[in-house]
Amino acid sequence: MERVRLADAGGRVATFTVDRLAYSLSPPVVGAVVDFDGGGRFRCEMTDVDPDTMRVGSRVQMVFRRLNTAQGVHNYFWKARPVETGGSVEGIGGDRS
Amino acid sequence: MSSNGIRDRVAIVGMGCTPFGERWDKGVDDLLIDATKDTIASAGVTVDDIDAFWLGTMASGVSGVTLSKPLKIDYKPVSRLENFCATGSEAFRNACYAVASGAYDLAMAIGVEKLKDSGFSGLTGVRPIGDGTDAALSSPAAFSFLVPAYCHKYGVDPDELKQVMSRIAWKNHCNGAVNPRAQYRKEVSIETITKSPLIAGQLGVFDCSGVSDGSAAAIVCRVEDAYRYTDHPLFVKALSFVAGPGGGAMDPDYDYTTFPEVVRSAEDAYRQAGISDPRSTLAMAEVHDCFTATELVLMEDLGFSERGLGWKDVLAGTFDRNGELPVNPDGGLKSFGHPIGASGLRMLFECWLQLRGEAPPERQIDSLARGRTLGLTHNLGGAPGECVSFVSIVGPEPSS
Repeated sequence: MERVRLADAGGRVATFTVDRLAYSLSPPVVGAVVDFDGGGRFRCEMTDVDPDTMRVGSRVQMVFRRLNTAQGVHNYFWKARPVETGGSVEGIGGDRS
Repeated sequence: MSSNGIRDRVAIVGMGCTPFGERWDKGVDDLLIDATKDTIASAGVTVDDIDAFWLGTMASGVSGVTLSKPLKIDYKPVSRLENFCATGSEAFRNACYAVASGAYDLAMAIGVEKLKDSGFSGLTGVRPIGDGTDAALSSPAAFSFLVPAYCHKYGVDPDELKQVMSRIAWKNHCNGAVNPRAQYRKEVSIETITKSPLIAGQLGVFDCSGVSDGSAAAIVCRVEDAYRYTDHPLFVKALSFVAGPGGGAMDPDYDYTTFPEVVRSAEDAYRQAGISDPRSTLAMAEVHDCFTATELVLMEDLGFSERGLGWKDVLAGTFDRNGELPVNPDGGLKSFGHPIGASGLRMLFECWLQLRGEAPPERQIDSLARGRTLGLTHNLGGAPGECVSFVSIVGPEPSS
């Protein structure tokens, strides 16, 4: 087993959803399956994203963000956000969750 | 690797199924007793005649005592098992092998689930606590991944696919509307279904199966004993169960338009039963329509439709009750409801009624009149990318 750093590897959306049942600090939860350039896949929450702009094949990059907070303890992990901002994405995601 | 099957060695000689739904008037014990009473009456036996029991429940009880206590079972083996949403089928499969082996003469498989009491509209968790890094998506969200992936791969317009999904829900509601045991007994217009509030992705409320309470059971024996209990047994032609390696969430080769586990279990079951073309052979199929998009993909995975063309068959009415191959004539998980542990046995119960000519005229399938005799049940557990799949094939006649 070899460890491969994927934090800086860009990727594309293989498929996606908007989950109106699951809890998130930044509802509604936008979920995506991300296929990294060069191999590897990760299922995660999207951030800084307008749900209506999600498409199969959209380019994303990984960002380290707060997943949740319980009893004063913050849990940070990886989320994905759109790379091609193209106007519609900018100005969204004010609370940076 | 071998999967030899036990074709025509085991028969179902009695079945029962409670009404599914919001059963505030019944506890788990009551549901188990009700299903058992119907089942033993159907086989003409008493609980004392049964040698061993398999109880399937995901979260409504632990251990064999969950069953032995309400039934007052007289110091006999009772196994409790769980295998995601395929739990009921898993109970059935194990009971079949128990009598086939000769270890017991008469066995009962029973499934039960009581989901409504939790007050939570969905499945209550039974999984170990994780490390908190998982994207905690709901079950509808996990299955809604199928929709954009399917549209993208086959070039189907998302609005068109939404119509396909709505038609699946419409069909299953039409079937459930005339079934007295179903949770939702109402026809719903395609327009209402299409416009229902979105739950996850393109899945609306009406694309999701019913969260439900209920129980269903079957009594099985070796074929040579079957006619002691009933003039019309149902013969087990195939039983296949697979758990996948679960790499879909990490492997870019998995494209979210199929359940490889279903493909493999279907191939295994067709081989056991000697079926080469399921679409032109089967009289009916009860499939795991946890969400409408799931049913669409299953039509292709089970070999009823060609890859990428299942949506056209849905729109053409191929799987309607009076279509070429009726799918979910009892209403399916969508309309009959989905009490996890009971669902796999509920599917077999519909085969029991339809294939033996006991379904009432208003909801009989007409494929029997075209000379078809075999029924298929398909039960899925987990989510796209990591799941378990069960396929059975049953029929009213021993193979020639």
